[in-house]
Amino acid sequence: MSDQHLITAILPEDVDTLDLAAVLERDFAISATFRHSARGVGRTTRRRRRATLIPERRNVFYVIVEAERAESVLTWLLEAARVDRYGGGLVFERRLGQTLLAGAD
Amino acid sequence: MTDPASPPPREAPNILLLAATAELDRRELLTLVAQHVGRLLAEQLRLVVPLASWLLVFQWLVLRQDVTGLRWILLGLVAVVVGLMLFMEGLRLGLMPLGETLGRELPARSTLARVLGVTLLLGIGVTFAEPAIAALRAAAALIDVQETPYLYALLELWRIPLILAVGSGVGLAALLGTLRLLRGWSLKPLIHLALLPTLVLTGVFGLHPDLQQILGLAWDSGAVTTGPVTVPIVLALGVGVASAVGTGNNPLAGFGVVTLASLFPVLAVLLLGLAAVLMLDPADILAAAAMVDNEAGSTAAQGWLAAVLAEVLAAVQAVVPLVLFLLLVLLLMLGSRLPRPGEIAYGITLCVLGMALFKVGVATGLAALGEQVGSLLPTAFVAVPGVEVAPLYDLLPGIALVLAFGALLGLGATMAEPALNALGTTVEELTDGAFRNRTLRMAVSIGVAIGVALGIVKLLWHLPLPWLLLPGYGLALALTWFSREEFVNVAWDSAGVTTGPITVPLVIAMGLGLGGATGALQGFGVLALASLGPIISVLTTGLWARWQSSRLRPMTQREAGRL
Amino acid sequence: MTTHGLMYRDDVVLITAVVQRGLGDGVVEAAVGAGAHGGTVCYGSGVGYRERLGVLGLALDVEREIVYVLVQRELESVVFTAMAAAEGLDRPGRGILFTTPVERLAAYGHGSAAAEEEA
Repeated sequence: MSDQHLITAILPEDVDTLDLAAVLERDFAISATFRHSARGVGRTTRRRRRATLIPERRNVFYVIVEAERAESVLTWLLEAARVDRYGGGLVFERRLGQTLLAGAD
Repeated sequence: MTDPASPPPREAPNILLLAATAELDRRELLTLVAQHVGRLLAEQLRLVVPLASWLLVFQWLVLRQDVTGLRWILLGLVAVVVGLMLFMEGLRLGLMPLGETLGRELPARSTLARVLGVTLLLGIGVTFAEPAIAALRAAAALIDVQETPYLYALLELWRIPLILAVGSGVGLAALLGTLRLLRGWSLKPLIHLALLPTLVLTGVFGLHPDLQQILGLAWDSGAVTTGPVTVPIVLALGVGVASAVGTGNNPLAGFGVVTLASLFPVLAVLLLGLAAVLMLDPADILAAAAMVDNEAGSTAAQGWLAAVLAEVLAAVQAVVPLVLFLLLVLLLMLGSRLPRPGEIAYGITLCVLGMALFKVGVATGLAALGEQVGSLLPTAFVAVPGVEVAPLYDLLPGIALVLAFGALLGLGATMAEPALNALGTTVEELTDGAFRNRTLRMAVSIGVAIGVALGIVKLLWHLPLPWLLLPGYGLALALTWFSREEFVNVAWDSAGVTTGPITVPLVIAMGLGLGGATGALQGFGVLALASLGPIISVLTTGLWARWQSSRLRPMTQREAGRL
Repeated sequence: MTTHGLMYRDDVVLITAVVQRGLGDGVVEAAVGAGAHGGTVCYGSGVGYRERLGVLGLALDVEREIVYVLVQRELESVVFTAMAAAEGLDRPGRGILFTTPVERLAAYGHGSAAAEEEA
């Protein structure tokens, strides 16, 4: 089995991660996806006295994919999850070590 | 774009694993335990101390009266703090995990009919287990059979039908709430459908002299139905069902099960009242009342120990049957096993102990103090026989003081309510801290504060309840229309759970004091308004937060441009 | 730099902190103070340590917050040290802190900052 990469997307709450998972399964035959909710704490205003940290709801979405296809899945994800906008979240990719994907690859 | 084929050289991860590797000696262990207990204690102290000091300070400085039996009251307050602490820890370790397990397993391993059957039974059962209706009867102390025979009839002669009406209202609400989750219905239309007939009926009842009597009782029963034992279990059940169904992006989808529990009982009691007016003759009620009065005289004497035992019994009654029912469903019907059974048993024991201590504490401490302040409250603005200095202040400043007292009382009592605390914890947990327990409780408490102040206005000027309820719920409906589904769920749920064992006795004591002085016929209706307030304040908070975050976005854009 | 659009970076690391519930915001604040742009926090529970303590484990809260902060590699040690110092993470039972390498990161923004977290 080839090297596996983990793509993590930290997304605003209006992106439907279940929808993303369904399309990945249908178009890419990838079922190794999972998600959880989170809160994003960021510098939202530029008050000098103290950076105000305002929590907002986030969804964290993960995809495990072989290294060769990571590029295309990442590109697709950036488009599908509308990362290309203000407050659109971010996507990052990591290499995985030993990976077991029984029935998922 | 960087070339993915040439990744940067991998570095050894820098790991600080102190917590997992350090061995602790006995002293450090004791420190950990002491820190834990200290944290729990501090949490409750922060809630109870402001409320109690407000009552004491008001009695001493504003009403200028000594507190009688101060030592017992302080002891009672200590019992409230320790009891709440044990109860909340018991919830965390025992009741909540039990409810969550049931919520996860029930929809997965059972048929739809069984799921609905269990929720219906649960809804009816909790009304009997936590008889908040009994607390409402205290508010009837002032009622005059001659003036309001039908109200008397419902409270005294039709006690069992009344509890059954409220119970089936809660049961049906829980059933519909669960069905809604399973079928993925939106909550908004259900709220509109349940509220419209209730409001129309309220308006119609308000025009009829006999039916008018029971409006306050009906709306107050909606406010007090769900207690601190029920709420966490029903919430956990809802969350479990929602996650079993798969709810997509809304982590708060599991809420809304107890929402209708603040509307259906109102409808049920209104209909029961209609039946009473049609079936009973005032003359018969008067005759029956005379007989009841004779019997009551002989059983009035009760010892101090008996009162404590009664509270302990009530605590056992509130927790044990419910837990047994849940265990029966889990172990026998579903054939599942409990995770960490020892810990859950320990948690449930803490719940019973904490509840008992808390109830005794409320009776000897908070409620006793509340009654003293409540009965003296009118001295702020009217002459009261037996109190030489009254009226202490001119009419308008006096009334302003009373309104401020009521609002702060509502605020403080609501902040300390254990059921609301459990709701807030669940909301915070599900949103990973994006919606804080404290924020929610503050929003709810402000709503209650405004509601209680409105209730005092109603008592002082003898305003008909529909005048306040109809526009209030109209506003709530409008806000519901504009709000996002998740806020609708939480706002209406908090209305259902808000008024609990701390607020109810304090508000009723205050209502009785004011009602006695101003000649109001009944202290009902204040709780109904205290339950309406949070719907409006939580929905407003949600809309405000949405407006805030849309307002801040352009700033971020500028910031990004500058960098 | 005024260009906006999707930006890719390959000089980023992920710092993860697993801390007692309630300490998360303090850890993010420390990271932001040291130059990070923000963090993502989710709730979880840590059980291993608690099991070892036996009955006394009941006194330990299992609730944890898991904090993710993405920073440029040149800021890694500054931010890491700031996060470790915040909320007393160097005391037993307070938390775990580690960094992991990131192959690349994509976010909307401007070339100069790595982890664009704000809403």
